[in-house]
This record gives sequence, structure tokens and C-alpha cells, in this order.
Amino acid sequence: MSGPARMRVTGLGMIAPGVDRPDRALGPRPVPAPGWFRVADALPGRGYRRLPAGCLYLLAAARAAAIDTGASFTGTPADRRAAMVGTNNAGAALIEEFDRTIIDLGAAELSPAHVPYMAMSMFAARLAPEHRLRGFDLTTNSPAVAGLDALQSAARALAAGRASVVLAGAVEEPPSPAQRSSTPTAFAPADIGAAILVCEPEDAPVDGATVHGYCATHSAFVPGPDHVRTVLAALWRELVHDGPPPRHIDAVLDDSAIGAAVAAGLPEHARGGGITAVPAASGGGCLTPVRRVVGRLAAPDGRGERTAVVAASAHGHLSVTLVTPAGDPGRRPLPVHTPTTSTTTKGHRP
Amino acid sequence: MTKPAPTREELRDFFVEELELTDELLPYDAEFAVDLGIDSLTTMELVVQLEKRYGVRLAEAEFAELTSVNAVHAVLSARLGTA
Repeated sequence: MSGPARMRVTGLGMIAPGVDRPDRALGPRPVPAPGWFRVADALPGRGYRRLPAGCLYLLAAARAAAIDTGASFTGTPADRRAAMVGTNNAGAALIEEFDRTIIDLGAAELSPAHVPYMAMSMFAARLAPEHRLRGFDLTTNSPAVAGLDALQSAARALAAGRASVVLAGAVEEPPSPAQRSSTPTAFAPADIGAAILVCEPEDAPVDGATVHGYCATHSAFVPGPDHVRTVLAALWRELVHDGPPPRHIDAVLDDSAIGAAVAAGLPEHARGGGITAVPAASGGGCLTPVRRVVGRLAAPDGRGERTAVVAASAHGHLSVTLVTPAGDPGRRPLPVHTPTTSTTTKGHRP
Repeated sequence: MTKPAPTREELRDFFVEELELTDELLPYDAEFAVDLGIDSLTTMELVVQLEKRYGVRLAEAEFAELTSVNAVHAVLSARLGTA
């Protein structure tokens, strides 16, 4: 049996209210204070003032992740660099604003700089000029799981040799005014910010970068709560087929019937390890699961153990990412390569 | 409502602010595209801002003339009267 593709993580970037470093990603999710994100600090230089908030969060997280990786990222040819980003709510407030402007003033009054962001893929697309990405630059959209699905797609693409390095993760913006007023409880706790992992093929030569760990993601669609147990067992079996089971489970679940069924099915997979329940808003932001992945990879205090991060949407999307920090003794032995100089350029895989 | 044409100094202040530049980096005759690397989308955004600020609607044919602070000043002065 061959399980889901695994990838190596060499860089981490995390931006969220109260969180400006990856090793704080497991911390609380406070209500964002006004001015919590300072563009000038996170993104020095020109050209950012007209970008939507989500775009700024994403660029800031990617910048931090690229710096974390260092020369291993910048030394990769542009056509071998790519991005894969999940989002569910980014752009919602902007589209509402467009609607109001068109109704009240007419389409001619729309801001030309903001109009492209009617397409949710534009948020991740802005990574391309910023980081000289000339490989693929894709967006996944779905409630709750789009971030983990982006990690899954990145691992598949790396395993298939379609890129040498992928910026993968998630971005979410605050819910729109209409979303907040119609179903206020559906968007609390808020899922705001961005998380980016710099991902490489699992077995590529280590190019001087720090290896934070490894990720593999599996996903499925569950047609109803009665099917959760069977589907979850199948996902688990394939994820851990060639290694020890995770020592911990982070369950990012809402209070839907699917969420409850997943929560009920997890203890049999915990194998005596702990389960951390991370309440999710049914409004469907997809950042929190990726945030847990980042936090597990960056945790310096012993929490960085082999962990399964589970996310599910009320509609039946189910994704599980198995996170294996570099220092975890249970990780599968990997080929060790002699680090090369920082100027080494990575090319196509053989 | 149409407003009086801006002075060159007012226009430069506007572009310095919008383009995150300094006075030194924005001579009156610097070409937005050639010298400053301003793309067409940013140019469109600036046109919309100018239209709102000065209460004037610029024709598409005029966009191509808006290549520098001096050029914008000339176009707006022609439309609004010399400041």
C-alpha cells in the first residue's frame, strides 16, 4: 500500500491576531484588536497599500517562511517555485463592498486596484511576482479543509516532480459585515491571518535549510454522519501504514453533525495519546487547521510530537494531516545528504 | 462637483502619497511607467482617484497622456482651468 505523498517542511511563517511567530501558533485566538497587523513592519517597502487585508497577511506569512528557509528557497530556479493556498472567506467583505458600490454609485466607481480580487485566486496569485514564482500558483476553496487540502495538493505536486519548492498554506480574512450580522455565532472564534509552509520533496537533498519536519495529508468526502467512522478508519489506515500512529490528535471541528461524528470517532485512533479539541466556527475558515500544523512543527517545548491534525466541514469534507516534527523519534528514517553551500541551485528532480 | 485645477505641487504631493515615494524620487517630469515602473492597473486606480478628487471625468483617450506629474497637470489644467 502506498500512502499519501509526504513532503519536507523547511520554512514556516505565521501571521494572526496575537501571533507573529510560528512557535506561538498553538496559542489562543483572541478577538483581533484594531491595528493588530502593521503592514510597514511585516512588509517593508512600497507597493502594498492597495492590497486587500488577506493578501497582506499571505504575503507577510510567505515572506517570513521564505526568510526562515533562506538560501534553499532563493536558490531554487523561478520555474521550479510554486504556490498552493487554501481559503474560504478571503474576499467576501470586498465582494459585498463591490455590490454596495455598484448599487449605490455604479460600476465606474469601483476601485480598479481591488477589482481583480473578485476572484479568490488573486490572493495567492500575488505571491508570484513577490517571490518570483513561475511554477503553478493555485488556490483551493472549501469550508474548513481548504488549507489542509492545499498541503495535500502541494505534496502530490512535489512527489510528481512538478516543482522543487512550494509555498503552501492558508489565508483567511475577517467575515464580511453581512456574514457577521446574519449569523454572528458562525464566525466565532474568528479565523483570521495566514500560515505558510515552505515545502520540498521528502527525499530531495537537504540544501542547508533547517528541516522542521514532514507532512502527509489525506482527505475524503463523507456523505453523512453515519459514514464518518468507516471513512475515518480508512484515512487513518493509509496515513500511518508505514509508521507509528500519531501520539496526539488536534481536532479542529465545528458543532455540526459531521463534526460531532468525527469527534466521536477519534478516540479509537488516539491509541492512548491525547486529543486536543480546537473549536471551529461553522462559518468555515480554513486557517486554523494549518495553524495547528505550523504550531506542531515549530513547537519548542515538547509539544512537537507526531500529531494528526483533523478538520471537517459541516458539508462532509474531511481532511487529516499527519505532522512529524524533525526531532520526533517515531519518524521514518530518511536519506541523509551532505549539506551543500548556500549558493547551490536546485534543478529538476531526476 | 468640478473643483479648481490643482497646482503642480499639489499633484506631486498626491502622487508621492499614493505611490509611497519621496519628493526626491518624483521629479515633475519623471515618467510613471518608464522611470517609476508604475503598471497599468495602478495607473487606472490613480485616474479614478483623480476623478473623484477633482470632480472630473477623463476620457479613455486622455489616459495615455497622463505620463508624468507635468502631463497630468497639463491635462487637468486644460479641463478645469489653469491654477
